[in-house]
Amino acid sequence: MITLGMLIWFAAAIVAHDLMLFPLYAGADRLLARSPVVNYLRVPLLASGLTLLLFLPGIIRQGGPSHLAATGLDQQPYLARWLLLCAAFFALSGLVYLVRRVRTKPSPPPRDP
Amino acid sequence: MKLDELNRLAAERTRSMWRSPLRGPWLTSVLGAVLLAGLPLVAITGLLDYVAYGPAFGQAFPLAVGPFHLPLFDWPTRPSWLFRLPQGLHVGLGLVLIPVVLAKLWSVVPRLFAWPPVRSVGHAVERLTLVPLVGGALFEIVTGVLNIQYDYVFGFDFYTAHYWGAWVFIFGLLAHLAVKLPAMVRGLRSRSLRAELRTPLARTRPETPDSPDGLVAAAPTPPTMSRRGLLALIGGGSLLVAGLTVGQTVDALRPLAVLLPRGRVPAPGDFPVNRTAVAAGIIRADLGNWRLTLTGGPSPVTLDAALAGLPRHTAELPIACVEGWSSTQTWTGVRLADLAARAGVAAPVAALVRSMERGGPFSSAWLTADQVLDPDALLATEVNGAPLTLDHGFPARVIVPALPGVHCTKWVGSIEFRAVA
Repeated sequence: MITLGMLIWFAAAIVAHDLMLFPLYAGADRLLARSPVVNYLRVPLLASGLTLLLFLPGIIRQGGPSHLAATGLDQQPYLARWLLLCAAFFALSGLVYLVRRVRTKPSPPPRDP
Repeated sequence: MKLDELNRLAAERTRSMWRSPLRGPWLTSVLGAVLLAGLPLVAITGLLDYVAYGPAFGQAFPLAVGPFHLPLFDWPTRPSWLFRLPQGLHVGLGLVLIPVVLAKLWSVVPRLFAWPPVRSVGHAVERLTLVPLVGGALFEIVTGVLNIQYDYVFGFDFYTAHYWGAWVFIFGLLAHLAVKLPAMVRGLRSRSLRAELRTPLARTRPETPDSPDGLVAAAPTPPTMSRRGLLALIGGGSLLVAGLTVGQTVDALRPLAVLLPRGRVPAPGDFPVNRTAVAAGIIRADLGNWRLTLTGGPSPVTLDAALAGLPRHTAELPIACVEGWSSTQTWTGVRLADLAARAGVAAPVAALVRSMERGGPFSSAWLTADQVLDPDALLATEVNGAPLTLDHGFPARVIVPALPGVHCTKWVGSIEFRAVA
């Protein structure tokens, strides 16, 4: 049977992106856009945000009893794994930045006339 | 000031809010085309899973769907991956497309705030089709993503909600296509994908300005990313999700699914379960004197753990759950066909397998004649050469090629064979 709860969640789904997620990431992005290394921050931040969004139940340990009943496992490891994953995203991005910096040789400083 | 003047100012104000130099009909059309290729596949595989559950036996949920289902047919047993493939695609592709859905929403967000909100009857209809389209897509994503992680925070019945949400989305998509397909084709033709993929940031320019409430920014900021960079970012998001999901279905890659319940197994070398013995109320001490009851023949037959010395058979078969995980294992047991013959029903048309677990929606399952008579359809007592563990259904469980995992009943107590429908 279709319940009121389903209709409420349906209505919430319509506005969830446009009125909640969008202002959040667009606002953060406007701040980032001022940085000269914008994409080296943007990409790992987006990857962290996407994984947080998708795997939120495990990360914040919501639904523990049904998770345990279905799998025989607790939700203990997810938060630490997600944090490690985020650290890896930023480390990788930083590494790419450094490699590109080293490979594009800096132009010689202008000499005084 | 006149009302017209106010409206014009409001329209200008709302348009100038949007600054991205990359938004435009071409980008939106490319994302739309990707979703048009992918989302119907997600919807159809989901509806196929419903057929696989056996609605003819009243064991597909929701129970009453009227005409809203695919044509019904007896779910075959061959190929043995016939259930694994659609359910894996449904969940896997559904997850992989989430970054594309989010990007598509980002690309059209100025339209939501365009002023005036409704310009004509046609425009109002177009706006209204977005309610089932966007609402349906996001509702399905949210409920699906929560379900595969066993987070039932929504409090309503998942099957009912996800099934009807799918049909709302399907109608929304059809209406949206009827209105927008020409615009998508126009958008795709407006620029060359090949040329875009060769355009670096330095040469990235905004798209040609479109209609007054269009997607191209009136006063764009200088680009910080090329168009190909943005496509790579979205594709990279999908690849990341794919990498974190594939371990649900490919045994060798299971450890990659670090953030999903099905990336983990209860013990090293083990494979996932869909319900533990504890959750099912099964206690090992109660099973010492286990008997299997076979009914449907001239008189009930009771077998002990030796299963009357029936021939033992080994088969390598996948077990696949509608929640998107699967695993291939080597199962050993007696054929269901041999048990039917032993019960005195040589040509069963169906069988009802009952578990010893206490209640629950999946404590029994109907099998079709094909599912009983397939040479690899087993009442398994061993997996990978060792007796079943309690969580895997000790002392005996059903395993049938291409049968939904939840119907591969564990802790089997009795089987009722039907000679006539």
